[in-house]
Amino acid sequence: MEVEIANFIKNRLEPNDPLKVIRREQGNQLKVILPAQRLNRVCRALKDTEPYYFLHLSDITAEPLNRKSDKRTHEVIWHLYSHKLNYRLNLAVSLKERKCFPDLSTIWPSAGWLQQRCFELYEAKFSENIDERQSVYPSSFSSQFKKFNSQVDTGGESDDRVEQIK
Amino acid sequence: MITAWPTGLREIDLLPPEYQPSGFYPVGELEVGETGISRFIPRLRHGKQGGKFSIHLVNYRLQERRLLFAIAVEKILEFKGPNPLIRIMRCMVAELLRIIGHLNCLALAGHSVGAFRVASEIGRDARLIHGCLHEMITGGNGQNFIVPGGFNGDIDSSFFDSADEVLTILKNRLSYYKKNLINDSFFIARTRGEGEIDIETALDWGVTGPTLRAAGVRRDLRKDNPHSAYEEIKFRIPIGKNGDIYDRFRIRFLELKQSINIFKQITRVVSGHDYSADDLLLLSPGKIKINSQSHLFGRRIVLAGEKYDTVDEELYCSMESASGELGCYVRVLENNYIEAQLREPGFVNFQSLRRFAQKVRPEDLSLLTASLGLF
Repeated sequence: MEVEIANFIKNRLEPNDPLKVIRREQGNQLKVILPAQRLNRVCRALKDTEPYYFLHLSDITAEPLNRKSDKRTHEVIWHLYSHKLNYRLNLAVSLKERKCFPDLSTIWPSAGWLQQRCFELYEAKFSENIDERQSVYPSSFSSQFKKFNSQVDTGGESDDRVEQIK
Repeated sequence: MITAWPTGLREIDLLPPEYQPSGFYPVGELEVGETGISRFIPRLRHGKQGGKFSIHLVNYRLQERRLLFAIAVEKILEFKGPNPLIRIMRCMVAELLRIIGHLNCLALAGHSVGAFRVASEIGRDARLIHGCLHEMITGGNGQNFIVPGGFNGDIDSSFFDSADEVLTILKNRLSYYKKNLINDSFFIARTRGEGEIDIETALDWGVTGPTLRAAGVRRDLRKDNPHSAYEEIKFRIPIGKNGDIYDRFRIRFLELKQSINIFKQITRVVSGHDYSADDLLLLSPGKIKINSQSHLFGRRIVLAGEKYDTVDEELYCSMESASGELGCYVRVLENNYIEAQLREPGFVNFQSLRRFAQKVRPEDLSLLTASLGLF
């Protein structure tokens, strides 16, 4: 199954497009990292093509900006589920900070609020958003994750707490 | 231990008088006399206590999250699989939490159609289950009862007796609910044909749980992707035909029956014994500490005590809650950090409300909200 899905995605990409496939045995899941500009095409094919029919977008999650290095990259992961195959597929896209991720709410309408939540938690921007709240946030907006993260990394109460637990 | 049916209990405010971070909402106490429970004493602000048996409302959503988080952490850190006893106990806790969720939903339905007596009685039954869970969970370590590795506390054999007693009462009450709510002609007139959702729309909008099953999709994560001991438990998945508000409430009602049957199957195996934390926890309690200040919303959870080899591993794990798919995405970072982000079924269902509410009468919006499990 994993090989078939990976080949199916690979056939939807251009020959020079990078593709990385990671298989996790624990949860019987596949993670595929693909270029942002091909995401819409791949997702549409995964949703509409037999026998895959990934009709259900479970969640959109993100990795926060890389804290260790100066890469400043975001990774957003779309968690898809196929009822027919009873299989879970995680599609991931990595982008530099301040670049927009593709909007998938035309394929799965449920993506709207999940994208908004990704922005509020991790500052991952999307090309369009269903309630357009991103545009009205001030430029000094800091995500919830960033606030918490700065507490832990730069000292303060949370830092002490972490040290105590360690 | 619950010894009598609290017939004299009057309706109390469901809202907690004070929020306690431990996840328990003490609302009052019952005075127990020779003839059973005689009166209810609300918890007073100055803390005066007069009864012998206290009622607590367990924050069941929090416990569901903790359960899923524990399962996800065990999977990603590749802990040794929990022993059969822990797996079966987890099913039991999950079913009690499901029952509370379904009862709350039906109670809200009753309130929405003006069936206040039925609604208050359903709410009262829900509080009995709360009492069972409270008895079980306070035997351990408060909110840290459900932890990765098992249960951080003891479970007394009296818990099984009281829970079995409560669920037998509840099982007998189901016919009353059916007659006065589900089969009530006024309730059917208000809900039949309202807020219909077809399969395609439901899948597009990502709704799960009873809402999706009411539309006719036989999807239940307890069968499709079972955690704990669900593979060994026999139960049925009821599905609807029309996907309207009535079907959603009916599915919840039928699932109540299934959950009670599951619980009875489990208690047949495990009742009659006392279980200590040594039986119920694979790891010593000091080995894992969860930073309780960081709630499970896209924030970092600190697991102390060990260095893990699985840095940068990630996993999406899910379980079936009362409202639908409860998901948890976990990622192991350096310095013993585990990052978790939850998928709340109510959050995803809620965004579909504006799509489904277009053809619903304004007076039925509260029914639609209750049927989607948004609270």
